[in-house]
Amino acid sequence: MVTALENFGTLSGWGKEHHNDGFQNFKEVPTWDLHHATYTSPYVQFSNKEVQNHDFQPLDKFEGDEQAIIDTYNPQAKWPWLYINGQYAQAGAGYSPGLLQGQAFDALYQQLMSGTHNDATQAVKNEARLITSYICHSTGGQPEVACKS
Amino acid sequence: MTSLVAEVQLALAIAFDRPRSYVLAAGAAVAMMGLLVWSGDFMQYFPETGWELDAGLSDRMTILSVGVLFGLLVPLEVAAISKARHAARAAGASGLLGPVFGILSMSCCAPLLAPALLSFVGFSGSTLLNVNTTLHELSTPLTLASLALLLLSIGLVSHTVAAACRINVDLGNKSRGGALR
Repeated sequence: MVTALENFGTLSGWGKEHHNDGFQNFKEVPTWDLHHATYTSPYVQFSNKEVQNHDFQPLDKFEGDEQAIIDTYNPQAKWPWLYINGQYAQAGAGYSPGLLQGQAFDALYQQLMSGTHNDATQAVKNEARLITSYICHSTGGQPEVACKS
Repeated sequence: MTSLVAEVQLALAIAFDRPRSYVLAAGAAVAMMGLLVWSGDFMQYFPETGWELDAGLSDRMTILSVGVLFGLLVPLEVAAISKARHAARAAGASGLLGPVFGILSMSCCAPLLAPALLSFVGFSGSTLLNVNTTLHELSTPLTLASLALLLLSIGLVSHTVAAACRINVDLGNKSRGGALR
């Protein structure tokens, strides 16, 4: 999702995170911490809500319209959940966390930035391509540089 | 305690006296494990890697334990129902409470089933997120309570089945006694 968002704007203030070791039987899975991140884009308005912390305590509160969207389109409260402009919704991860498990955030980030080709980077890129195409449908194909590729 | 174990052993011997009971037990166990896996959303399909069972160790142990106990409970319930007329009289309230506790263990106290059940009865997604947080905090005691209720149910149903067996033995003795006279 982060890779896709960067096609439409600038994400700053993000941190490095990982899932709990042993969660869903996976080793630590590196992920982005967007809790304090800000996103600026002329095309996309982005809202990220972290539902629970590592101790499974509630973190972020939903705005009224967000709550209504979740109640309508995610009645079973599946998480992670992605919702784009009332046109697309995705429950669960787009690829297996097992592809990333046990890797350090920096090592994986470096592989992504350097264009290294392996199962993990390919899965991330495929997912980014899919989310980018969803967002492009919502922005009417803007910007062309992101939506034509 | 020893008599309870003996009663359960006797009830299991009665319930599993036919090969079809094993099929029933295996079917019930697999069905319950399938329900828990589905309800907990543990089975995931990913285009790159195919189907995966994404459940942690404690969840896997819970699914296995509840499945096995439920597999034992169903043939016992069937045996109890088939002997219900004699059993209800002999076992008293336990004949009714066995299935009740069995259902309770699968509904109110099974943290893996609760979210799906609550969604089914109309809880909203945002409410369920809060419920899931609470359920996770209480998952260990709730799971233990669920297993305890299942064991209690097995104990009560075993009492029913064993009681029916005792009645049959008593009736047999009486009829033999009558014949001798």
